[in-house]
Amino acid sequence: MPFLLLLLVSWCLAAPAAPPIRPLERSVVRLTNTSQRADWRTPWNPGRIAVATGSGFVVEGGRILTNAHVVADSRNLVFHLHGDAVPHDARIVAIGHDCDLALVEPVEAGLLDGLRALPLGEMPRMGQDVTTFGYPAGGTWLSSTRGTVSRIDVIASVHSGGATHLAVQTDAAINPGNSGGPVVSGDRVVGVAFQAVGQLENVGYFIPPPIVRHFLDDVADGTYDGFPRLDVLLANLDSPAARRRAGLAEGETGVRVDFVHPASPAAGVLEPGDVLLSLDGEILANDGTFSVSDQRLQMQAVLDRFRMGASVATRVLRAGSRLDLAVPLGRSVYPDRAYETRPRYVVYAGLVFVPLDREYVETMSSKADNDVLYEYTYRQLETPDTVVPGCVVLYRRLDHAVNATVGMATHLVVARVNDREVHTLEDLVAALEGNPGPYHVFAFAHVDRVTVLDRAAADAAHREILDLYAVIEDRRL
Amino acid sequence: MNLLALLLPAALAAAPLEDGVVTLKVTWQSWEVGQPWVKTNPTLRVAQAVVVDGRPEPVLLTTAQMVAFATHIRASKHGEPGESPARVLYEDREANLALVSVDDPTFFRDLEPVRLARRPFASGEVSITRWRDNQFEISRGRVSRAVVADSATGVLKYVGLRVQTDIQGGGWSEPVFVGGALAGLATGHSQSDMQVLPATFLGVWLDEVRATGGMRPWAGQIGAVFQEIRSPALAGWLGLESPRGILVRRVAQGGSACGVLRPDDILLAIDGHEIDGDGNIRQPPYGLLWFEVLLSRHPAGDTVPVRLLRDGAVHELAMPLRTYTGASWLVPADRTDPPAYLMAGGLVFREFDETYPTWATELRILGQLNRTAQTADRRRVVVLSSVLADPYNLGYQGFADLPVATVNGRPIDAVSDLAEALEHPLEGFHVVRFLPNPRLNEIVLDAGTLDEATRRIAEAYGIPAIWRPGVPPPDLGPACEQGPAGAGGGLPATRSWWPGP
Repeated sequence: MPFLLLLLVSWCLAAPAAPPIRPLERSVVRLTNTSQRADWRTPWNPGRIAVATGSGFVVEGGRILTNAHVVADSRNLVFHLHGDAVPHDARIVAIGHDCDLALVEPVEAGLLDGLRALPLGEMPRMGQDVTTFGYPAGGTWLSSTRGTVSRIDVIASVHSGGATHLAVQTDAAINPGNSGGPVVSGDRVVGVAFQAVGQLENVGYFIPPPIVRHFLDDVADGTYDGFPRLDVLLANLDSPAARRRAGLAEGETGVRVDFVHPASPAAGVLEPGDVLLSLDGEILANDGTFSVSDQRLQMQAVLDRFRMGASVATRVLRAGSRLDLAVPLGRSVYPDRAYETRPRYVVYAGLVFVPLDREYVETMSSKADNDVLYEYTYRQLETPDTVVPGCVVLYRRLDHAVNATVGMATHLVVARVNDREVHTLEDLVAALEGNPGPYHVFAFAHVDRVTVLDRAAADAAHREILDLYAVIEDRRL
Repeated sequence: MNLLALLLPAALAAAPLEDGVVTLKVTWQSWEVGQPWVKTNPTLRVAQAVVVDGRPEPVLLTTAQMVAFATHIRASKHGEPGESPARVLYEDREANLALVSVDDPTFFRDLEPVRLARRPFASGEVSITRWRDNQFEISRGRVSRAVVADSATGVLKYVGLRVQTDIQGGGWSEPVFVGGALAGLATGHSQSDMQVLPATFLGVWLDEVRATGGMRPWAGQIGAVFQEIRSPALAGWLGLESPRGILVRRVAQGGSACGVLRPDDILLAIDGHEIDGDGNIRQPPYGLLWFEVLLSRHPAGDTVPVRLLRDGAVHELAMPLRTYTGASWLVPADRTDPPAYLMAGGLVFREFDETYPTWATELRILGQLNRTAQTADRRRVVVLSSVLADPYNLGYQGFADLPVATVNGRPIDAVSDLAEALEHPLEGFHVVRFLPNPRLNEIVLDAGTLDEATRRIAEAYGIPAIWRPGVPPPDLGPACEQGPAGAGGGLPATRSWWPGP
């Protein structure tokens, strides 16, 4: 009886004739990525292994375009063609974590030969109808949703940890697994689905053609350079008094430069106090936006037009003069989230040291001391003219008799080791290994505390602690 | 205060417990943090107090936390409906104790002063008492252990008792008795655990107040940062054979340690007690206690002997105890005085203190300065706490919680500096600069229309006075001797918090 019922259900489902798969739909693939993401809490470990699926679609050159976050930290990558049960191996050609786009290709040549490369269309308009294609929630059959363009804005990408680019918001449902799938209008791709806002209903985002083209042009030479940024802190000039003091004429608008990172490409060209009047010919309003086809966008949308290493024509008000400057654009000194990399660390006698970097702060921010956050965020702002060297954090202790009585706190900023200033893990290693004395002496910034280890005892326990805590290597520099 | 000089020693009398316990109804009101020109909604606090001897009339002893921010106090007794107006006669916030007098001289006619249990103890049965719904309630309790407790209204550390009890909703200065004598006053209570300020401390404090009329309040903190010498390696590096004593890392200007202790000294003994490598002293019947509790045995003005190791030699020195409280911190704690503020053009500036919510990033960083000592050139942190929106401050509405560095080029170390700086506009503008932060560096206001805008905004938002200079910070006295640079093995200096001098 149960057998019969099952058959009946199958028959019912199969009864209506399935519509033929359109060529466009055939070009949408499902990607399955086995990733190993490093865990900055256990920097000595190789990382957590996870399997996730996403979407991608065939583009010119026999390649598949998808999101960077779909294929990040990959150890193994396979894809399924639409309506095909056979997994195929794939490899990454280029990956852009700042714009969340990646290009992959089949390991086996010719696999995509019969499929149509989806053509890239133009920037969609507000209210335009769009259709998404993809494999949400890991399903094996292609799903599509419909909606309209509800907003065009510059937004931060989650994957990069905040890099902002032009993006399009739609009410077409975009769910996990949709990532990397095409958003289509007519027979052209007008975007790549990449993220949604969980708390809001029907708010999904896709990456529009200008950003996709920028990425594809960038990787044409085989390497990805990324999108340039300005690396300056800007202040709005909504206040009439602030505008007058800055010397703006009646009706003139702009934003004030408050801080220029001394290592940024703009250093030496832009100065604190400058008022940016226009960028690439676009007049900037007092809130830093510019006007484009009846709406306003943040100025990053201007910078998105440029390649790394280019210069942007900038009109600046400085000390009463209006100057036309070519501001060089380059790689940001403020790092995005790190991928395709493993944490750097040094373990000595059970004391675990790591560099103070973005991943450390992201991983530890709830536990990290205000001292650490201060060093990360404020130290450079306080010395605007010179580049602040990095710093090393004593992140934690692997308990052992040799270190158990040092009575130290964790998340301490290392100031000096054996009377040598320490800014990098290399400094630390040199200070430890170059010390002939009977003690290692660690001093920390902000807290009045000194930690002392007996050098001979620490050296003797070092290997044992590594074995006990299964730390394969005592350092990754 | 002169009145107190006439206080008499407690009489030895065996009276029922309820004859020594009265209820205080305290109406209180603290300052509104965001609008420091007004106070919060008034609230009633019901506390217990005990009767102690005084002249011409007895007085009431309660914890200082019960009379904090009081606007009006009345006392009642024996569960009777009548209430007599009362007032704070003397308050010692470091000791967390207060004496309250009752206006009506006949109030004490049918009351008896309590007897103090002056012998220290850390175990045994006690009775916790209070008036509730016109009935005298006695709950059983058991002293579980002694702890190093922080004064609820100050920074003083004292030996406190923990009492296990099934009383509900305690911690309102309930008198705790042992064998008919007062064992202490409750200072806190959660679940089954009650914190008690013991009568040993009450006795020392009352003796002092009786002897001097309350002219010598308790000192607070020693004013130094210490590090334990737990590890044999650290002890060896410091030249000790084994861990003992406590390492002095930093000495605060204005504290008792200033001029006596120096960075890199190893403090071996204080007030006759040897200090171990964990910073503890052994004090029967309590056991091991953090050495700073010894300060609770003395009022400011007393001198305690210290023994220390400096450059390999033992020194015996005398340390006069000076008042060093939360008011001497860069971010003051335990304040009850009206906060200093200034409103100009809708910008509300105030002095940052522990009452300020520290969720905003910049102030979270500043919150780190809690328990950091003031120095002669940095006494207070002034913050822009909010902007009262008005056309005058267009462009800055919504900014809040930013620490001020300068106004019109003048460094700002107090609200009074702000008032002075606003007298000197720069070419027709007022320029407020903040400590470096990623949100906003500078606010520019039109100087010509400031006064008019301030008046308009004060009127619209109901601000009675546009500034209050507040209580000036305590005198720090001369700078401390910091010792020769690099002494004691060359402990490295830490990086400074503040950009430039």
